[in-house]
Amino acid sequence: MRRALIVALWLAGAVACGVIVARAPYTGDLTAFLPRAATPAQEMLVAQLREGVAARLLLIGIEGADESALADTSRSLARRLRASGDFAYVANGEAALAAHDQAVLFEQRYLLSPAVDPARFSEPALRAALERALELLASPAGVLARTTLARDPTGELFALLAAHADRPQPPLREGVWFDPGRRRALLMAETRAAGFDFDAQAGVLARLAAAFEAARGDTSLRLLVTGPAVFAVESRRTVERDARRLALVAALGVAAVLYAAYRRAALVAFAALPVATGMLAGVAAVAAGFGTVHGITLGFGATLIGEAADYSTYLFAQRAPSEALAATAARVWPTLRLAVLTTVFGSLAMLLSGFPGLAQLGLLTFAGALAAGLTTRYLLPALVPARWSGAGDRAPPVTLDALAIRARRLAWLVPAALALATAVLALRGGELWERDLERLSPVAAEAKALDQSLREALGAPDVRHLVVVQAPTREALLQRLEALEPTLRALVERGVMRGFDTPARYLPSAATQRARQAAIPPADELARRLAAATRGLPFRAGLFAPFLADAERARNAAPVTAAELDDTAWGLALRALVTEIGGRPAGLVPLAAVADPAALAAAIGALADPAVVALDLKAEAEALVSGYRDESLALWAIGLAAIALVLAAGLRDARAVARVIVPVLAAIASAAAVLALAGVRLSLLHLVALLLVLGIGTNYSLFFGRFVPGDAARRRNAYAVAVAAATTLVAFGVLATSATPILRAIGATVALGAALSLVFAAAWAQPPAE
Amino acid sequence: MRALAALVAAAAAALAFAQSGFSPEALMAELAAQPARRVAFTETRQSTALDAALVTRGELAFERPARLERTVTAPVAARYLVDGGAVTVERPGAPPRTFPLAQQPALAALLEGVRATLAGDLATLRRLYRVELAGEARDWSLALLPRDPALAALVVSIRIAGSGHALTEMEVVETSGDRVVTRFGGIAR
Repeated sequence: MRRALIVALWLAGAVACGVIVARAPYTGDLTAFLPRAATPAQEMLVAQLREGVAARLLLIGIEGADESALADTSRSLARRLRASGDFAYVANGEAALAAHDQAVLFEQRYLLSPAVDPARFSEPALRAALERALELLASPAGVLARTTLARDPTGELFALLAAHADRPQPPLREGVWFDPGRRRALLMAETRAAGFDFDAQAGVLARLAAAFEAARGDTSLRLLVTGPAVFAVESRRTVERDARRLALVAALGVAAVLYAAYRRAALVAFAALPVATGMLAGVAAVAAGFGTVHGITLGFGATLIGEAADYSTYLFAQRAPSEALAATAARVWPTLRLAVLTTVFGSLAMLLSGFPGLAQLGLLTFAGALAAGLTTRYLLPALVPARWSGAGDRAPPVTLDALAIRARRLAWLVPAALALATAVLALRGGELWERDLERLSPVAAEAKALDQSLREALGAPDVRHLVVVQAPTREALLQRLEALEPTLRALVERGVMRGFDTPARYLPSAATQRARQAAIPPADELARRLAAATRGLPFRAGLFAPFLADAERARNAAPVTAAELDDTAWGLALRALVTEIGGRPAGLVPLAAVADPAALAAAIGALADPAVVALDLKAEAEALVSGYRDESLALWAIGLAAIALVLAAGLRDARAVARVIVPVLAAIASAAAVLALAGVRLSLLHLVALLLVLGIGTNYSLFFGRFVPGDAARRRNAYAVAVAAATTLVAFGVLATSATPILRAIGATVALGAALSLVFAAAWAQPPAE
Repeated sequence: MRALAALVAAAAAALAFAQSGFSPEALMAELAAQPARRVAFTETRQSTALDAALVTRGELAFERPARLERTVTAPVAARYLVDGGAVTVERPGAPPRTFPLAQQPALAALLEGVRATLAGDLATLRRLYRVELAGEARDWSLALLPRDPALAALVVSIRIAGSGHALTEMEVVETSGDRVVTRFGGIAR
């Protein structure tokens, strides 16, 4: 009756969790794992990672045929991409597009051109402009000058474009962009989907590949795509593929170890029940508690909850001959309960974290370990038939127990290792931690090289230094950016940097535009001045009527807004450079080739304007990562304290607590020291992995240290720990062979830490006298 | 009827070609044999925008493979240098400006027409223009009809006339209705 109730309760719980899990929305938002930004600069950085145009830009190359085939495919692909709706902007250099851009700029030239001021329309200036127009007409560019002569005799469009001539453009061949070697046609596309939305980006990339297939027809052209989204999607795919393959190998290995221990396939299957239940409950708890589940929570969570895989081992391998499993469970429970509770309370620290990512991991571990423990304690004895004795009927091997006893002679090793490892870690100091996240990226070197070459060819360099300006409104922002320009120009002249870009170049503030409007004389006045300026020049009478009409229209027009530039290259630039930080508009001013960061910081600091900040993105990213790491370390320490409290409550003996904690701390420190000596720089991944080591290592100590009456029971106890350790070593040893840095880091750390924990726990095990 | 006329014209052209034995290839070979040249020019723009023709004088120099230099002496001095894919403009009282030719595809096609003719580069000419040659070696006329839509939007046709390897005249008819006639004369070197 009681068994039926337990099974029914478990089933009901599993179904409820299953429903929650199935309905939970999953997100790939990596930035949830970024810390809450401490400074506006970091907030900007995170915002850019999430929403920025830079993160949404795809750089595309087509190669493998002659110029005209490449150009045709470029046009066809661009047409398909524009029609797909996936992209806010697609550019491939096509004249039709450039013509559209120019038409928009031409319409608004008097409001956009920095050359428009009251002097521009004075009689002498008009005269000079007209003489210049004649000169242009007689130049090799005369044919072009002729087309705009009547509407734009002062050359306003030319002045406007000249002010932007420093923006590098790829060379045109057959009317589309090519790389300088003319082997690749180039395109640039801005996705509508945000850069962090990996699922959406993966879909966009798949549709892009399909569009290319359709565009290339039966030619052998190749598509090259790069950009932050490509890197992210590729990384994720590599990690997932690798993880899936290795998880299968690891599962088979663990199953083989367990089969060797139990000699019964059904028990191996039952052994997976606690960890499966734990994962289900953990994910359900996260879904219920947070509303959404992050993909990374699942990945790291599976690692953290790996400890629960040992729970069933401690039950099955401890069973005495002809003992009822329920009796074994009751017998082991005091120790197992402590093992579960240390993990549960250890994860509480993470649960308290302000970072959604860490908090989710904490909740998942909290609920998962609890569910796995209860499943082991109550469900397994209720489910597993009495005749499946597990290892119970066979005498446990003597050698393991003998080894464990002999290991006690190595007790000195634990403090020695702890001291040595601590010294090594202290000596490494700042060298200990990985600052450059790039090195953890599984993106292949050739992919990075391709990115570099397409970036150079398209003139879309990676920006490292920028100035960020904030303001309450967009108009105020543009005004501040305009006010900043003299400072920046001075820095360029001093050689502090090579150049800068600013949103105000693409869209002047409404105030500036109104000043330009005010500079345009009324129609009759302008006509009078123009007539005077034209005297003696060979222009046909009435030729400039369109100019007078355009000037009058510009004088009365509403200022140009960002929306009017939307589908032009300038619109793209504006979207890239104007963003929001904490709901307030912010403008980005990318700086080119900063030679003297100190002088830059000094010049910006001298403005004494808190709304204007100079940023080194690389340094900020590093600061962000180390801030995150510091917070994780603090949480780690709190978790450790929680575990010590649980142990103190359970063991009621300070020395017993020390015997559990010191070996696992020695193991963790030694593992970290070995990694550091091997030249590995530690990252968050290692911290998560060491958290798992803390969980399983504590269990080894607890079980080695528990009171077990009789030789046979003691051997079974040693055997249970050995089987648990063997499964861990197999599972994470397999992961350590991965080519993916993330997986290798977790695998190697856990395997190393678990092995050391086992040895140290055995060395310090002093079960109470019989 | 129109097809018949085209057929007759083609036959006539073929006949003329057979008689003269002067092919675009032969002309290009002759032009290509000149590694460098320098010639004075007088350019006249007859424009619907102007009451009087605009006259420019100067010197045109070419050096194989791809250096074309136009030095204007009157009415306002200026120097334009097309070298490979870069254009440099020098005007008195202003720093020289250099920009990639490819930035202005139409202008690039126009300049390339002149440069490829001087270089005897028929392949480039044919990529950019429909090429028609009339006359004989001592008095030839080369018609270039733009293929590139960007240029075709600006230029109706280019006609270059010459004698042997020497250019005598060039006429550009623009879609605006303007005509620019350049007379070459007097070897400057």
